[in-house]
Amino acid sequence: MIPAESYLLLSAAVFCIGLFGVLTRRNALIFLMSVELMLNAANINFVAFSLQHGNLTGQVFALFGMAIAAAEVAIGIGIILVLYRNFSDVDVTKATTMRW
Amino acid sequence: MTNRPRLNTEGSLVAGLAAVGLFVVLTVVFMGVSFPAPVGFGENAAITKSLGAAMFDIAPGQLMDEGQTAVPGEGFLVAFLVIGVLLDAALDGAVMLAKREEKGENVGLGHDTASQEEAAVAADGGPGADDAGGDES
Repeated sequence: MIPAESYLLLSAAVFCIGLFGVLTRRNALIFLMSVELMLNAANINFVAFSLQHGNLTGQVFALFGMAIAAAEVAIGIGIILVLYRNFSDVDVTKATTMRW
Repeated sequence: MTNRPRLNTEGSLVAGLAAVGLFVVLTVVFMGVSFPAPVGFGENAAITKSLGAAMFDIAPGQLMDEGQTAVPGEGFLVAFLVIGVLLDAALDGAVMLAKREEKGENVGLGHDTASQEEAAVAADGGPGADDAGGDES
């Protein structure tokens, strides 16, 4: 059986790839995908520790995490759509003020 | 003029060093700890059935076939319903955000769409085309 440390390393790698995307990219769509990677890293940890403890709670939480991610994407894409309509661009650094 | 894909060099990669540093720190920490052997779920564990039982808060023993063992878990019926409401709200929010503005209706956060639409029509040679100009002789 694969040790828990391997899952943790995989999770850390996925999370850090997502964090790298959030910190370096300006395209809102890539930004959103990077946030999804970070959420999925948390799900990997949930499932790994579910196996570690022989309890299903972690897997149920991972399913809920996927549902939260879906809700986040739905709202995120709506926001990106409004961003594009108002700024003709999906650059997150353009929308730095709340005035129009 | 070439139209080939180009390497995206937008922004600075310096900020990304924080992510790389975090990965190094996490790797060092995870390599230094040792976990006991995973408990696992057993050979005949019906994981999917047990997940369904946990989600709908029913006794997993009712769902098991001959020779299948239930995996322990808790009931999550309330959380399941709350997440369902949240998804519904998110769907409504997404539709509200994505709704295209009607002519003259101020839907888009301080944006006057009516004048934009008229300008577009004028540019296409419609009403007001004399003012909008164009390249036709």
